[in-house]
Amino acid sequence: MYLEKFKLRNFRNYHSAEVVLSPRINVLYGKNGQGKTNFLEAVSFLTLGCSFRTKRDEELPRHEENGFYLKGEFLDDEESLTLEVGTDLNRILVKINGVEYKSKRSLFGRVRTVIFTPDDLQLIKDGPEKRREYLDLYLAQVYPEYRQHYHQFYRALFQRNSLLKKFREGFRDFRELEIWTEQMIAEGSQVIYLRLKAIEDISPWVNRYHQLMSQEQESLSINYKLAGERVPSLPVSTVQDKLRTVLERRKNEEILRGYSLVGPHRDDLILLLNREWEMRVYGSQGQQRTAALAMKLAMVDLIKKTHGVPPLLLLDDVFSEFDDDRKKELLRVLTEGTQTIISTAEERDFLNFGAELKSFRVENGVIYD
Amino acid sequence: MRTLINELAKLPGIGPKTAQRLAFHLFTTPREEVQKLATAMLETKDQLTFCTICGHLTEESPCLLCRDPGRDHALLCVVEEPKDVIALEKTREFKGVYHVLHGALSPLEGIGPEELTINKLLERLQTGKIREVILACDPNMEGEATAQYLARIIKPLEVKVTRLARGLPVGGDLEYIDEVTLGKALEGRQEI
Ligand SMILES: Nc1ncnc2c1ncn2[C@@H]1O[C@H](COP(=O)(O)OP(=O)(O)O)[C@@H](O)[C@H]1O
Ligand SMILES: [Mg+2]
Ligand SMILES: [Zn+2]
Repeated sequence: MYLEKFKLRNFRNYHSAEVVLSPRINVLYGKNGQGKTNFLEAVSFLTLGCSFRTKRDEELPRHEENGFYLKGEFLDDEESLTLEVGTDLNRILVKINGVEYKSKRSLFGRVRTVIFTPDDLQLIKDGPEKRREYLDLYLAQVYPEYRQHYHQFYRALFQRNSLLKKFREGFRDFRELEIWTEQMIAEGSQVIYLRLKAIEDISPWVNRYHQLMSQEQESLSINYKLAGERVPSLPVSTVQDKLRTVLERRKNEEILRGYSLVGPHRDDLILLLNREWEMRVYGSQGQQRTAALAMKLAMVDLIKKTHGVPPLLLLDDVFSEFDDDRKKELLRVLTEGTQTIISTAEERDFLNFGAELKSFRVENGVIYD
Repeated sequence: MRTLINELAKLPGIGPKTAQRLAFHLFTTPREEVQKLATAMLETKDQLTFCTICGHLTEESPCLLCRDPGRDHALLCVVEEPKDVIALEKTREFKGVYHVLHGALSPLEGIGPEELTINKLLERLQTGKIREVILACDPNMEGEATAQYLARIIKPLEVKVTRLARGLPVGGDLEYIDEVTLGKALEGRQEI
């Protein structure tokens, strides 16, 4: 599926714009602050139901406006898909092939999308939350059941946390706690199981991409930490047993604090340089950047492998730090057979892609073919 | 008019817009029709109570179901709400009696075992006259948790505990499941 036509109204600094895109490589170029990232943000909102820059949707309408509207027409050999979303103050309306939906959640997953931004460095540098977000955003696109288990897990978690809070106030029904613990284990173990399976699949790719980009002999390994312990891919029942054991061990501590301390909402990924050195602590800025990029690239491969078709790629100004040869090599690998929308300050970086490339100049919220 | 709109909007499933439409509709309806509606509402409120045995809605307690000698009083079906009783009655498959919990476990909403009619259920079981308890909670997480909880406290009483067969649409309400599917789930119930 590729995005053929895209229309924006009152989104960020766009008043009204409509573009016809190439099924291969699209380059948005222009000076800083003109609306290149805004464009990518709009596309991702349509395919994921959220922005990659902010969780606050009220930032998205153009200043002085109450809402925005986006429409994308997607095509492939067999079918077409039209996604529309419009907001007005606190209301949101989604249309998929003309049929109305009430939640922006229904946009998610119809066109799989991977986004690269300069902020990806946070994947390595920041706390565990960013790494969990990375897993959740992409695994929900890889495995259809992931999202279901993820939402159900959070429902069980919130129920259990409410109960733990009551425990702190003196009310205690351990039978009730056990019931909610079991619900949390049932859903949480499915989430963790899928994460482990994904990590096992992507780890050779993560390493290969890192080596390709670092042009050095160093290796990069990625591991999942379940309740603080590094674990390999495991069957669901083993994950359940592990969760149950750790939850039992930390029960008193949880009651004391009044919330759940164990589960996929607390887990983390660990990235090691040469199997030994934690990237987050010992990696140079350059190594960290490469590692983050490798993690994203590996997700593209996982989507290709699982679904047979590559995702839509949104690249926001990510290659500016690489030298020309590496940039070329990376772009060749990455954009093979898929639609890509790239933003850059330097149009000339992409000129050698020839006929497959369509470029757009972006200036103050207006797009010129 | 504003008061009426505000009151209507408090009803489940009615938003401010629908409330406004209903209010205007009532305004244009003949007085005697409005009177009928108002009387029916008050009468329902005044005359309906919860059955002291099963917790179902009734004009007279015990309810018709609990008083019916033709029903199997040793077969007890536990549901969350009175509307679930109505849904199960529509299937014409079930010939036992009911127990209405008036909710499902949900700590988030402050609903624990104490807020449900669980103690009353235990009293009924302790008479020794019940042969089988069918747990027919909603097929969602809170319903599941409630059923698991009940199973754990009923089992030691040596009463047979069963669940509606799997395969009901998950995440939903019992009342929205069609009669045939619900009847089949009842028939195919399994022991836990
Ligand atoms: N809600 C908004 N309404 C109008 N303009 C906005 C809004 N949000 C951001 N902008 C403007 O968008 C511009 C940034 O666009 P951006 O796409 O990030 O630039 P770049 O081309 O460098 O990627 C800034 O000028 C900013 O003021
Ligand atoms: Mg930018
Ligand atoms: Zn009764």
